[in-house]
Amino acid sequence: MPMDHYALVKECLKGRPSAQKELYQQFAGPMLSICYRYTKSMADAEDVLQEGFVKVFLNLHQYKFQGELGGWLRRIMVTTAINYLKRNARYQTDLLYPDDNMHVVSHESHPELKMEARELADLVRQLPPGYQTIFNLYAVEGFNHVEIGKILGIKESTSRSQYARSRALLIQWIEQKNNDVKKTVYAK
Amino acid sequence: MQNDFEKQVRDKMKELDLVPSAPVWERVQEQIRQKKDRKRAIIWLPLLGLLLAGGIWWLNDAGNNQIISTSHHTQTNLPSTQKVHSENNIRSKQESENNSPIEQNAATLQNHVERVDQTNTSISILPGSGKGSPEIRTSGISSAKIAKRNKINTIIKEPVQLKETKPAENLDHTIRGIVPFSEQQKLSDNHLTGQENAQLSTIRYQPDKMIQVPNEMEKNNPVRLSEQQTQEIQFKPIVKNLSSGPIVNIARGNDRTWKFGFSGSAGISGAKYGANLFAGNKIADAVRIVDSVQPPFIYNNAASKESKTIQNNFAFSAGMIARKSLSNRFVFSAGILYEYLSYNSTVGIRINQPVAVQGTTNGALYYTSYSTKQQEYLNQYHFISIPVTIHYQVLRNAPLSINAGLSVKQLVKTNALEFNHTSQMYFYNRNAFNRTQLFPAIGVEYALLKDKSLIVGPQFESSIVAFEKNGSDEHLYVGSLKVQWLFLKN
Repeated sequence: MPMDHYALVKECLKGRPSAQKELYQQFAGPMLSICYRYTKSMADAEDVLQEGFVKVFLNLHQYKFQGELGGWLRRIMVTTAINYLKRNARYQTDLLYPDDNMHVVSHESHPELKMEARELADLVRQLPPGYQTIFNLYAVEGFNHVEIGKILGIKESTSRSQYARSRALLIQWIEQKNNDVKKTVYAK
Repeated sequence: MQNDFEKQVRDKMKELDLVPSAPVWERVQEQIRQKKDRKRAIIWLPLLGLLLAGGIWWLNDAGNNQIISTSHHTQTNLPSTQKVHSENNIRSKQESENNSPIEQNAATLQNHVERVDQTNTSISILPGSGKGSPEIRTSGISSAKIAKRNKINTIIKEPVQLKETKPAENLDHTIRGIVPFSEQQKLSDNHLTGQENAQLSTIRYQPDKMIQVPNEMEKNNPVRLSEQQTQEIQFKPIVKNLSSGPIVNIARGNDRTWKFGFSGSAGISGAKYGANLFAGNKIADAVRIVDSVQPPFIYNNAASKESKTIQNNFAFSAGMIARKSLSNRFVFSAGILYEYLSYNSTVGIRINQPVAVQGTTNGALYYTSYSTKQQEYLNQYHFISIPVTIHYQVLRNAPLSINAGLSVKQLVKTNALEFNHTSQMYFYNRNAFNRTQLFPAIGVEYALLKDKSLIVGPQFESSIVAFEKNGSDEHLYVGSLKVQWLFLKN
């Protein structure tokens, strides 16, 4: 039986390697899913995961047992992922698009999500890095645009407009994918 | 409705289940070990710095600047060589402030309200299903879906071929269209090869066509939610108490804000004749020899000149510093410091009776410039200093920088002696010195920690303004090991 989180953290703080490994094994999967959504490749996702867990273990003494351990880890992973994107030149040039005259199709209605989680995650990952980050922070993590603006150092209006564009793009891709599935089904 | 879409996305993402490769854990362990070793080194480094500064001072104090006198003195019964120290108290104007780091991102996360999702509230961890790793279960997911989820889907097959383009020089995305899926953007859980990574990095999103919409839609801002819509939004709780745990400074990577911290240094200081450090000897005064101990002095015009002997002594500084990144490589810093400089000079016997010097009778300490038994006098200087420095990171991948700047130092207090050529005496005269000094400085520095909060390195400064008003062209210099510790936002 796995240790409860309180006991697990206590054991980790004592420096027990077995406890550290157990904590890692319990949370590595969900945390990798978070990192995967923010990056463009599995190699980058694992780099972020590695960096995030190093921070977790070095700062575990700051966890005050006042919330879920998973939530605490999740926040570290999200901030680690965003820092990673800002540091890497691969993501830098397209991290954020300027507020220009790009027009967005408004989607009041949205298609049904019939795909697997992995497929949806891969669609999100195909967004430009800036859109991808804002979409993850708003739609998945649940931050509002004011908070996103502070996290990314952008205006609230920029966050809103970029999220609207990312959402519209994603919906278009989902619809296209759904249509392709229908065509395939009909072809059969 | 828009909220439904986000809810569906969130629910779907909870089902995502990935397994990291084995080397990740090994790398985590290795990095933790390295960081702990580095922390231990940081504890010992300041001690080593102090030992180094003390060693340098000790070596210089062992008489490496002696100038042999070539003059002749009359024989007198004089006290043996002894060190003389001013009894004046060192007045310190050291100030310290504690600036609390502004945790803007902490406030942001703290204000992130916990929103309860009625359909799912938490991630529960179940024992592994025999594969050696735990699986994630969320309520409402059938066992069939879990079984299907555990199969790894490696390739996304798309009917549309990618129109691969080179990186666009103009990143103006005023024209955007539907971005086709890329067959080359295979998202698998296998590690991408170097070639695939290179391909991925070169792919840029190029539009195919423009999407035209009425401007009114943009003006109406369709993403703005009404109060009612906002209240209807129910999200899964992400964090319950954002005040716990470390908060990483998300904006630190591009942070151009001011960073404040402590600055200190320890080293040696001295005086030199002339502003050019690399020319000339350490001569401060040229004296004439007198034949009598007590006034009236009888000057021996035939005697050779004797040079004042100077020996480097201890110097240190402490204060506050502020740094701001100007670009990826350049950093600007300014601060306010208390600085202590000192050096030993050789003087003759002390005369404890008033002597007319420069037309006035100076009752302060004064010494003859000659004697068969000379003694060392510790000249001490207390400055308030405002250094302004530019730092340049020379290496892209290492936090090694060179720095150059100018320090304006205001002399607050000193016990230094002025030499009077007429009377051939050293005496204390507080008006003898140019109290505002300019010290150009150069140095090297290295950031010890990853967040660059601890910076150490040697620095050298030398004054370009003559210290004494009497034209002796004496210039102070100081070489030290500087340590800066910055308070960084978390």
